Parts: sequence; structure tokens; C-alpha cells
Amino acid sequence: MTNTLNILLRDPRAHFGLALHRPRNLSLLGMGVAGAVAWGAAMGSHVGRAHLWICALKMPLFLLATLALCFPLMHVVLAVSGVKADVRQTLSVALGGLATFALCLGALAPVVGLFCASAPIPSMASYLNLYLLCFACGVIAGAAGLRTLAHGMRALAPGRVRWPLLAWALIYQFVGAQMAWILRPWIGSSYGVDGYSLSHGLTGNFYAGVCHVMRRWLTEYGVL
Amino acid sequence: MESQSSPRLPAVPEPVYSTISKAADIAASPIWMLRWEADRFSPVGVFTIGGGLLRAQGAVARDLFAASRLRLYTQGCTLLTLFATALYGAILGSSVGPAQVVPAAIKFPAVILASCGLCLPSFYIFQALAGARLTFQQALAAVMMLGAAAGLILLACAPIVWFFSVSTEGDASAFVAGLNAMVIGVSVAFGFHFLTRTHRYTAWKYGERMFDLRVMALWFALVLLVAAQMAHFIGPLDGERGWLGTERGFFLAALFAV
Repeated sequence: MTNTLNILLRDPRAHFGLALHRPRNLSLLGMGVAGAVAWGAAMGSHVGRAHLWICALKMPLFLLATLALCFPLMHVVLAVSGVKADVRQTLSVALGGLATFALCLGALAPVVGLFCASAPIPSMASYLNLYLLCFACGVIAGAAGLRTLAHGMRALAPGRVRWPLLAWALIYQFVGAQMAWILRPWIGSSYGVDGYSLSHGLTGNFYAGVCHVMRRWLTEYGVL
Repeated sequence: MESQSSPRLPAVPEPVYSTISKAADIAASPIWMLRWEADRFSPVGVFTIGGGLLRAQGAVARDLFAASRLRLYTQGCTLLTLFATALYGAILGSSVGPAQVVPAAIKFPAVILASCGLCLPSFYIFQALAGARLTFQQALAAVMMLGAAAGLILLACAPIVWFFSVSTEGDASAFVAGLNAMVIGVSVAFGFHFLTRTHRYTAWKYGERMFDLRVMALWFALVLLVAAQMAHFIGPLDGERGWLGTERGFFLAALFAV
């Protein structure tokens, strides 16, 4: 696994050159889960106690469940873009990007964990600061993951990666936002230290929620 | 036929330190690089590593690049960091009061080593992402070398800081605080300087980059941020917290409050 990690991070082109013929999907899956667990635990350390292990479990679940839902469409997008890849190759490319994303988050997890564990609680200001910190880490990890995805797609079909890459990012983001809305693998409200519960219900809609917030915001400013 | 009759001599391996890349122009090289090139050091135990970091930085850099004796370097540097920061922590604690000497001697090394440990994964992963040629063992050794190099400066300044601590009256405590801040700043700068020069030297010598400098610059900033937050969280100089007491809050807020 260490060897796969080194090649994937240092020379993704070489990794996909090998992996597309002999897929190392289990190694990639293991690395991705390890990184996601570390990141989840770091975020959960703000509220602490049960929230720590709940987030550590939810984060890999969030990433893998989103991939599982998106994968058929991602494979179809590759096919209609003229990229000839079998299912295992598509999975190898997708897991490569996901593993890089999760590894970057995992690498930043100790630092984020320190700030989460030492931020004042309950405090809305510290919650928002941590939210921004996690967002910045997500942007960095996302850029690294997209770079790996681009290398993987180029290994499949040189010069045809722009649109499929954009489509993959959009599909994953679209589904990922709803998955995150349902699972809530996040920092957790610092006001709910003694009241955190899994029973918030696996329902709701991210996009409807955004519309609701926008409408309320526009109403408050007198636009509507 | 002649070659068959002549005795076969054992092949003499070329020393690593004589393989300067052809691209390197020795005449135009900075003097420190030539000095590093002439450095020779062979560590014989964990307690000799400090001497290598002071007198033979070039040899240490070559060993780090070649991944040679990394375990010895890592152990030696960790011990050195631990000892130097414990001693300096005790001196820092003595400026607060006698009761704070032992807690500070334990908490200050904890701040430094924990900061190094927390930032190690990001150092390794992001250096690898930037294409740097660095294994995890090399990354660990490099981070501990940073700590040990800084620790050497702390050790060297410890007697002076102790002298000012015991001889300065309470109304001039701001001076002692400023002195401590300056010493810690200089020691950290020396550690960063050592790693940066190691990168430049190995790039010059082998024509291959060991670190990515942009990532390293950002990582330096991250280490400082983490160390400051860790110090605020653990509070090595806060006598009211007890041994395991921590305080939540962002270090900048506390700084502005002061």
C-alpha cells in the first residue's frame, strides 16, 4: 500500500500507467478510507465525545456512498466522451482521485484536529472559523484530487479529458452536496454538546434548503 | 589476453560526495556549498548527531538525500530536541516562578514535538504531491532535523537567558519575554534555514530536488501556526492550569487581549 501511495502522489501518470492494466483498487480504497476516517475524527473532536467517532464513521461513508451513486453515470460520461475504458479502469481512475482527496484531508487532519479541539465551545465565532478552515482544506484537497483525476483520464485517452473531468466534478459535487445534507459528517453544532443525536432523520434536500435560505435572505432585505 | 593475466582489482565504489552533477558550475557556486561539499561526518551514536548538525551539515544533507542512517539521525535528533527544549522550558518556567520549572520543562518539549508530529503528515503528503523525491522516513528525519537544529540554538542561548531571568526584577519582565521571543525566533529561523540550505545543496549536487520550496514555505507557516496554537492550548507558562489542564481559544485572540 505504501508503494501505491508513493507512486500515486508523486507520479500519478506512472501510477495510472500501471493501474489501468493491473488495478490496485483495494489499496486505493484502503488509503481513501484511512484519510477520511482521520479527517472525520479531526472534525468531530470539536464537539467531542460520541460526535468524534460518529464523524469518523460518517466521513468515509459519505465519500464512498457518493461515489457508489455517481459511478454508473461517471462511467457513461466517459463512454459517451469517446474514452474507451472498462468498468475496472473507470473505478481505478475514480478511486485514484478520491484517494488523493481523502489523503490530503487526512494529512491536514492532525492540524485541523488541534484547532477543533482547542477552539472555544460553545461559540458561534469559533464554529464559523473552523468552518472556514475546513472549507480551505477541502479546496486544497479537491484541487489535488482533480489533478489526479485528470492524470487518470489522460492515461485512458490523451487529450480528451476536459469535458469528462468537468462532468465528473459536477456530478460528484451535485450528489455529494445532498449526501452531506443527509449524513451531516461535519464539525457539529457546538451548542449541541449534550444534545447530539443521530435521529435527525435521513431526509431533506440540500438544494431546497439553499432556496429556502435564499428566499428568507431576500425577504429580510426587502427584495421579495 | 593481457587483462586475463593481470590480477583483478576489487572495484572501489565512488564516494557519494564526489558525484557532483555535471550541470553544477563549481566556480560559480556559493562558498557555503563548497564548504558543505568538503564536510565529512560519520555518526557513531545518537549523541553524536548534534556535532554533525553543527560542524558537518553537508554530510548530514547527503545522508538525508541518500536515505542513509536515517533511523540513527531520527533518534539522535529527537533526543536532542527533547533535551534542548526541556532545558529551555525549565529556564522559561523559572522566569515565572520556581513552581513552574518542572511543568514548563515537560510542557515546552511537548509543544515542540507535538507540533512537529501534527505537521509531519502534511509535510510528507504535500511534498509528494509536488513531485518531491522524499520517503516518509526522510520526511520524518527532515522534520526532526529542523527541531534539533533549532534546539541547538536554544541550548547555546540557554545560559544567557537563564542569567537574565534570575537577575532581572519583576518590573522588567517584558524585557525577558522579548528576549525569549527573540531567542525562540532565531532558533526556529536557523532550523528552517538548515532545511532550505539542504534543499539547495542537494539540488546543486545531484541535480534533483529533494523538497519543493513553495510547499516548504507554506509548511513553515503552518508549523509556526500550529506551534503557537499548541502553546496556547497547553500553556507551558501558565501556573494555574496544573499538569493536564488545557485552555480552549485561538492564540491570536489571546495575543490581542495582551
